Parts: sequence; C-alpha cells; structure tokens
Amino acid sequence: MNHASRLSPTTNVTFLGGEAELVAGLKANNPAAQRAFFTRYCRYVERVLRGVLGPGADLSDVTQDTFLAAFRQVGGLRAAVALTEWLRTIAVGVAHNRIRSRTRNRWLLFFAPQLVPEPAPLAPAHLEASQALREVYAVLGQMPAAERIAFSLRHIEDMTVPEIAKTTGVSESTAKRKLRHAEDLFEEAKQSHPALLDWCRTEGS
Amino acid sequence: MMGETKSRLGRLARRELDALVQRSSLPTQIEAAVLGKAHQPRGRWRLPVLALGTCAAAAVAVVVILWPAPPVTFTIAGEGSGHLGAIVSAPNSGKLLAFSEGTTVAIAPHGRAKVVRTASQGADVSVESGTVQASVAHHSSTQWRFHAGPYEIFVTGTKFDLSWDASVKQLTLLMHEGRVLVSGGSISSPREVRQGERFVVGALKSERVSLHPGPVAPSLAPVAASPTPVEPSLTRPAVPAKRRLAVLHPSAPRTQAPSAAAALELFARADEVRLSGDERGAVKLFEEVAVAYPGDRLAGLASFAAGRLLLVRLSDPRAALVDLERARRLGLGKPLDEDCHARIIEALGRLAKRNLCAHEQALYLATFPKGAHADIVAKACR
Repeated sequence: MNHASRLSPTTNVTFLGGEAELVAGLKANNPAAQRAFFTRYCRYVERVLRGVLGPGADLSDVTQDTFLAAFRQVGGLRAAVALTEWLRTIAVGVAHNRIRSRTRNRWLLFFAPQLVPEPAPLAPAHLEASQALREVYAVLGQMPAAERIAFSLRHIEDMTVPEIAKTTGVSESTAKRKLRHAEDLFEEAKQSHPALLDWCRTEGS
Repeated sequence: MMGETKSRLGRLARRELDALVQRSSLPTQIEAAVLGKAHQPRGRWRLPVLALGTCAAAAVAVVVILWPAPPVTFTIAGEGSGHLGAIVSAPNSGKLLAFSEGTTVAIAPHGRAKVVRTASQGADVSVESGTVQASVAHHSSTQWRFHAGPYEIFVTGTKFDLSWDASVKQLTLLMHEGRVLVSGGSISSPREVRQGERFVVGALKSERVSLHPGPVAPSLAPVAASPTPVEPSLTRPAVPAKRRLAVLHPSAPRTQAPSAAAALELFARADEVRLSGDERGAVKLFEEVAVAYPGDRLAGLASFAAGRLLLVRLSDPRAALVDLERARRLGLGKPLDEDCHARIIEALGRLAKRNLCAHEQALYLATFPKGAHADIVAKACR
C-alpha cells in the first residue's frame, strides 16, 4: 500500500490546539487545521459579512471567497493573537469588492428595472423593527462601497474610528472623512424611506 | 438618525443580525466546497495566478497607453486662446483655428463656427454658416466631428472644405484627402465621402448627391438642387460599400453590410469596454454605434448610454447634451424616453442654460405629468 495514501485522511482528525497551533497548522496547509479554522470562524465571518452586506444578502460565495483568501494569505500573518482582526479585514475586503462589482452591474439594470431582485424577506420577531433594518440597508445600498462599509462598521458593528481604519486599511483621517460623508448621505437618503423615518421618530423620541 | 436613535438602530441591527446568523445553515452548506478548494494542491493556483499576473501587467500597460490625455486646446489666429461654445465669426477676412494636436480649421470670410466640445484626440466643431476648410491631423484615435445643421461629419484624419448654407439648409462637402462619414438630417444611413468627391445634401425638401471623382475643384461651386426628392446614392465603382465602411470603422464586420448584427456586436463591445472601467472608450464606441447605424434599434440606446456616461460618470454635460439630444431624436421608447428627457434637463441645468432648461422642464411636465424624475427635473433649472 502506498505510504502517502495511509496518511492522507487527516481531515477526520480533531484539531485540539489553540490559536497559535491553528495558525501554524494553516501555514503548513494542514487539512485538519483548515477544517478547525473553518468550524471555529465560519459564524464569525458570516456575522461580519452580514453586518456589511445586509440581512438579505446571499453570503454563500463571499464566505467561501473569504476563507479561500484567508488560506492563501495566512503565510503573511505574524501574530496568532491577531487572527480575528486579520480575518475580519479579509472579510471586509471581500465584501468591499462584492459591493463594487454589484454597483457596476447595477448600471445594466437601469435599462431593465423589472430585473432588480427584491431582497430576501426576513422572519423577524418585530416586523416594524425588521422593516426599519431593511430600510437601513436599502439606504446603505445607495452609498459608495467605502462609505457604506465605514457606516456599517461604526453604527452597526459599533467599532471605533481607529478600528475601522485598521480593518479597511486606510488612515484614521480617511476613515473619519468617509464616515462623515456616509452619515450625511444617510441623513439625506433616509428622507425618502418613510418606514425608517417613522421608526426613528417613534423609537428615537 | 442622530445620537440615541442611531445607537438604538445599531443595537436593533446587531440583535437581528445575530439572530439571523444563529439560525443560518450556511456553514454546513459551504463547508465541503471551502475545504475541497482549500485542499487542492497549491500547484493548481499557479496557472490562474500566472494568468492573473499577466492580465494585470497587460492592464497596467493598457492604462499607461490609454491614460486619458488632457483635451486639446485651440487658439484663434490673432486673438489668442479660444473658448468652448463661443462663436467665431469671420466678417471680412478669414479666421484660423489652430488646435494643439495639429488640426487646423480655417473659417472662410462671412463664415461662423464654434467649437462645442474638446476631447483628448479631437473636438466637435459646429459650422453655423459659411465655409470652413479643415485639415484634421490623423492619430490612432482621432475623435473629430463637424456639425452643420442636422448633419454630422465623422472624421478620422483628412482635409476637406465644408459649407453650410443655413437659409436653404444645404450642406456641401468637398474632400481633398482621406474620407469622412456623413450622417444625420434626411440621410437614412451614413454616407462615406472620399478623396476627390463632392457631396451635397439638403436643399429644403429635396436631396441630391453629386459625385465628382478625380482632381479636386479649386472652389466650392454650388450644385443645383434637384426639383424632386432623391435618396442619396453614392455610385463609386472603386471600392464596394461594405469594404469602405469596414475601413472607416474597423469594428464593423468586414464580410457583411452594416446590419443589426454588426450594430449589436459593436454595442456589446462598447458595454464590455464600459464594464472594464474605460468609460471614455465606451463613450466613443457607443457614439460610433449611434453614428454608424442610425437606423438600427440600438442607435438611440447607444447614444443615450454615451450621454449618460458623459453626464453621470465623466461630468461632461456639454458633450452629454449632444448625445442625449441625438438619442431623443433617434427614439428610445418607454420608459427611457422620459429618462432621456430628464437627463437633458439635468445637463442644461448644469450648463446654466436657464431658458432652454425651463422650456424643456415645462415640456417634460406636460408630457410626463406623473414622471418618475419629476423631483430631479423640478430642481434642475435653479
């Protein structure tokens, strides 16, 4: 029997190490480490992407892209303790690209508005709140990618400006500028979303 | 959404998104795919990475080569720098416009013309009346157009005399070198005019083409209009029409006449160029569809797409207006007619042409009382 074939089914091995071992395993292209990494961080990645792209987004492709990018780039990760932040940066970058490509394609929909897909419906506990949330993402959907990401990281993920700057790979002053622009755009655009305005009036008072 | 409302909305969003992620079955759906791709040997990445690297290098090279140069500038002999949109008249003696890329346009005595648009490799010149003598420098991507009344002359590098008699709406074109494509007005499909030929079109209801191959006449002798309408027909034996069009428009198929398929192919290529990020290149191709195939159903749409790119993406309302007005003339159908009209008003507003803007605004509101763009239109002329 081939020696290599006896050693190959490592994917069934449970990975017991901490983050430092996990990073070492990923750098060594170890299948068990990759599986453990995916299992531990998939929901985290999904949550980051959901926060940026919205509740109705189809995350299948972007989540896969995020993990594959992480597997490719793990060689450059220096400190295992920074694993979560590093992964968040990759996820936000993938989401950024997705928003930009969607924005490009929206141009075509201009000619055929009937082809614009409706966002996937939510199954919320509070219909009104959920409607407000959907409206928030409808407003965010009209923003340029960088502004949209800055806004969602600040106001939905509750991140600070330095954290946003680090996650998006820009300077703090740029992050602050993008955020301020996004907030202005949001204030302006929300006027044409009555459900959001109602929610702000009733909940904000 | 300020202060407390903003943080409440943030909390609401986090709660909803957390609940959504907890209910999600995404990890089980994609686990096999992610790990399957991750376990593929690294060598499989080399080819796509190499291909991507090559593409990136090619893209960089293309960007360097096609990096938009600043628009051409022009001077009026004896007067200094010329200004876009300003009419240059030559009441007694001629005037010479010299462009920075080498083209010269001489306005004959009693003639009037204006430069309506400049681009990196050319300009749009509108001949209001009289005769101009143009010597267009040929470059790889020359973008010269002359307008005379309803007619457009698409130029790739040539020398010609162009006369426009506004009183009888007659265009006369005498070619010294090269070739041009004439469209618009009552011309049903673009006409190519080549070296040594004289092309006359218009004269109120009638239309006539006069063809004089051979040595160029020293002056523009008027050609009498035919008393009955005649569809222009160029009966040059030298080169078949299909080939001539292909020479002037490399994008046009070389084996078939201009057709819906060729227009569609060019339109698709324009859209590809647009998607690649080269918006100026896309404008040029969209305009080519509109100019080369004005009878095609895509012509209006192409002109509209060019106008929209110029207005929205390239912030050039003056050039956008030319394309949008042509799109309206060619016809778009619902609901783009309304959209086109709204964008014409937007362009006029941005150019601060208040009277025209107000006129178009009133027309829009009368035509589309419940128009989708009424709010933009209402603010456009302020």
